Amino acid sequence: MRVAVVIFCLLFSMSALAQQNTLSAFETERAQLQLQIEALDAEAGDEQWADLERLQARQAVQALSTSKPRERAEALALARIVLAIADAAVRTEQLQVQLLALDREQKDIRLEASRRDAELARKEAEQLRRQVLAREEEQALADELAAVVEKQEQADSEALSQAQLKDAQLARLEEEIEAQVKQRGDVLSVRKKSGKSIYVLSASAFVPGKTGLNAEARTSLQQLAKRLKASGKAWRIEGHTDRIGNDEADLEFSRLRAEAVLNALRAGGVPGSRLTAVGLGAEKAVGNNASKAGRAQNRRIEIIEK
Amino acid sequence: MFGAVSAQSESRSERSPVILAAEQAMQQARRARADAIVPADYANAERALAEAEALVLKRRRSEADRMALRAQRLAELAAVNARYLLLKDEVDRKTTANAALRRELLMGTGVKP
Repeated sequence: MRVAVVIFCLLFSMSALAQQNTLSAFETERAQLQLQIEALDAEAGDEQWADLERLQARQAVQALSTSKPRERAEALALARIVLAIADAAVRTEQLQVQLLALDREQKDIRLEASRRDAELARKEAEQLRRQVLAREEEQALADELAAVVEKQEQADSEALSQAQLKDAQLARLEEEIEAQVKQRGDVLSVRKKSGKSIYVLSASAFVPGKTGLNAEARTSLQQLAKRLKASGKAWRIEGHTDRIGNDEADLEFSRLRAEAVLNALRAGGVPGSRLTAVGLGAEKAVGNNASKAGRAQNRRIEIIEK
Repeated sequence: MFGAVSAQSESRSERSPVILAAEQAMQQARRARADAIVPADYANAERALAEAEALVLKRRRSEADRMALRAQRLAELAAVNARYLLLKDEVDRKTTANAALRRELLMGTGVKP
């Protein structure tokens, strides 16, 4: 009997201990679930993420404290599931927020890329504009320089031409003076060619280096004019020079001297209609231009019967 | 045999609101493609619903209701997990796409889309 009582007491104590342990495990898990729901609430914060699911989870955890011992296991399992739903719902809403942020980010990236492209295009255009400006400036500078050089060259050329002309005029002047000294009294001569008369007026008929006739030549030409007028023929007056100056200047010089002779003959009574004057420059040389004597022969006016 | 048929027809005609709610939750889980995305979660819910229906046939109504409630919650969990995974996949895809876009457009290491 005593043994039976001892065994009963022992069994009772063990059962009570087991119940105590079960209760303790249940309370521990309930506390853990409570902590989890609080953590989830804290995570959701003011965002109100999955508030319905979190409310259901809180209610399920609270219901544990009033559940009957035989329903505890089932209530605990249900609370775990509901808490898992709330947790997944919060995470899902977080993902939705993240997704919206990613969409915004994508728009921002494209916007930023557009801005960057626009900025690049602007910089390229600016660079191009500067290059064009630089090229234009370079070109303008080059043109300016070329114009200056050309102007200088032209001035040099003109100066050289003038100097050469002056040299030629001086040389001619010297030679004419020298020839006049030698040929004084022999201004006008005549010769025949193909039966036609050719009167030759030497350079000593002119003021040295000028196109004006000297007094002696005028007298000679007045006498010649009478003869030419009497002949009733037409006369061609050709002016000739030596080859010291340039061609253009020589042509002009010879023409002016020929016209001076024409004017003198017309003044002497020869009708102008029967007289023509041309300047031939150094084209028809009769003497050697390499010698003073030859050049003196070349400087002449020929009055040729037509 | 007649008894079983009678019990089955009873279970169809007299479905409790809890069983109906569990079935609706299962439908929503399928709409969320939980059966394909989280098949284990979905199978848990399905098993619980089958168990609840078996308890109904055994006329253990209060147990059947508890199991049906569990089935409903498990179906809801499967649906929300499926939605979560789908969204997670989309977030990962967009994160990768944005990183690629950033590389292509802002770092000039690719062709613009």
